[in-house]
Amino acid sequence: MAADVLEHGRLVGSRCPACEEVRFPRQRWCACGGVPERLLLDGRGHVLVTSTVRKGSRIFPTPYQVAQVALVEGPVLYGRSLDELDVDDEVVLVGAGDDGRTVAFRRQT
Amino acid sequence: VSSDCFVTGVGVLPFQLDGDRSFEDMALDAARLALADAGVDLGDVTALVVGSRYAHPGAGQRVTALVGGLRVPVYNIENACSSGTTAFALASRLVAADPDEIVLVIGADETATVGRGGVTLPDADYAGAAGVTHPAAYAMKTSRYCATFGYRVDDIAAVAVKNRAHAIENPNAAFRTAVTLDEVAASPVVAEPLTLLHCTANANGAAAAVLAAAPGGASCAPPVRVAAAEHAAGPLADRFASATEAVACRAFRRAGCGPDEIDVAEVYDAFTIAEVAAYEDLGFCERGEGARHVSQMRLGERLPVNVSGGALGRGHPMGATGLAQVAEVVTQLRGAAGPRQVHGARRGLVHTLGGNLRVLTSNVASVVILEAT
Repeated sequence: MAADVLEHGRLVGSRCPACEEVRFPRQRWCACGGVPERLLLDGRGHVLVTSTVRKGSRIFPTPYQVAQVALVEGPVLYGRSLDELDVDDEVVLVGAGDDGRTVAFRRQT
Repeated sequence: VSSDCFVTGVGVLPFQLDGDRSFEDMALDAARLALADAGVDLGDVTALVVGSRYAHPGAGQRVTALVGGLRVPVYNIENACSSGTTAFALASRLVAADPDEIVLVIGADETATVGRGGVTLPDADYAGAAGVTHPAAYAMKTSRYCATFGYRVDDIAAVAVKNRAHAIENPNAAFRTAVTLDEVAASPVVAEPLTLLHCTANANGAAAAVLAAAPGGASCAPPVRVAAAEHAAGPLADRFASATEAVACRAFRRAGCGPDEIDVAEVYDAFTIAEVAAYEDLGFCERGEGARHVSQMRLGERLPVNVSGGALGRGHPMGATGLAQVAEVVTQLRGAAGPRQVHGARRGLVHTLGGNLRVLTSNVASVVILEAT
């Protein structure tokens, strides 16, 4: 499973001390030669785009919404929407699912 | 010093939506077609490269195990949808490195059998685990593209209409009926705004090619020269450009030509937006202009793209797709494509993407440039 992606609801990314690039998922080595350091990301960001999945998922019953989100630190990632989201909504990442390890987004309150 | 590399033979089996043929059977049949086309005996083959997404480990050995006495090096390639094209690129490098090589490349998959109801994503992919399906990722790309550059989803759907119309003339295509924009829009929604007819279909199939440094015997079909076979992998930042852009630059440089000198192209179209993005990434038009150029990519127009029907018309046995693309361009450059012939085609391009969902665009891109001799 995607075990190392979330830790206690925080997203596990990395920052390279040499080139300062913040990335998700966590990088173990950087092409610039640096060794990125583990970094728990803030988890806030804004919605770039959404889609409602109506067919073809073996993970969740359909329909459900997914979103692509740009985090304030820079990385762009996908996740499931827990609220009905629109483009430009300010969201925060949460760990969903039984094990709290599924990437999902909620609207910031 | 590297030698020239020629495609001396190609073969494609009809792609089937509900096929029950095994990977090994299909691979052997495609190999027979390609070797016969090249006028090469199986015993002359010096290496085998096999591209497949879903074959069991040891794909190539599963094929050679059925061929008595064949003792050649086997290279197994898995690079998602680009497995077949990657296998082809590797084969061309084997020949370039050693002119005595006669390399058989096979691409095959039982995707229809594996992926009934949708190909699943690996659990290790965080996006897959979050419910982001392949169509959903391309659906989001479609929405962003339309919002950024001012298009309607119908402008993107025109790709499906074009490629399905092309597929009518391809006896190996799984879908040989036309669809209209209204039919695309009215088909079931898979992931908004993409409907079923924006998406390719899982299929079973195989295709193969023979590569060699010498053009082959006089009795054979005209050989086609491999001017470039470039490939890149690696995650990319999320933007509209994809790995394709950098790989295409390298391929054009190596081939000594530019995008305006391509006469026919087979580009990645597992989802309609992928083809539109490819026009831009390959330099066939400016960024943001792709959706305006779909009508110019029909047979008989400026630059026919996916005259075979593409993955939207052929179906998509992932490992076979790249070699079916190569076979189409080779057939076009020989002038042997019959009713779907692009008149006067001298130079053609193959483009295939493959990748999981960690990034929006792709983590594998292959670009092959072929020239008539």
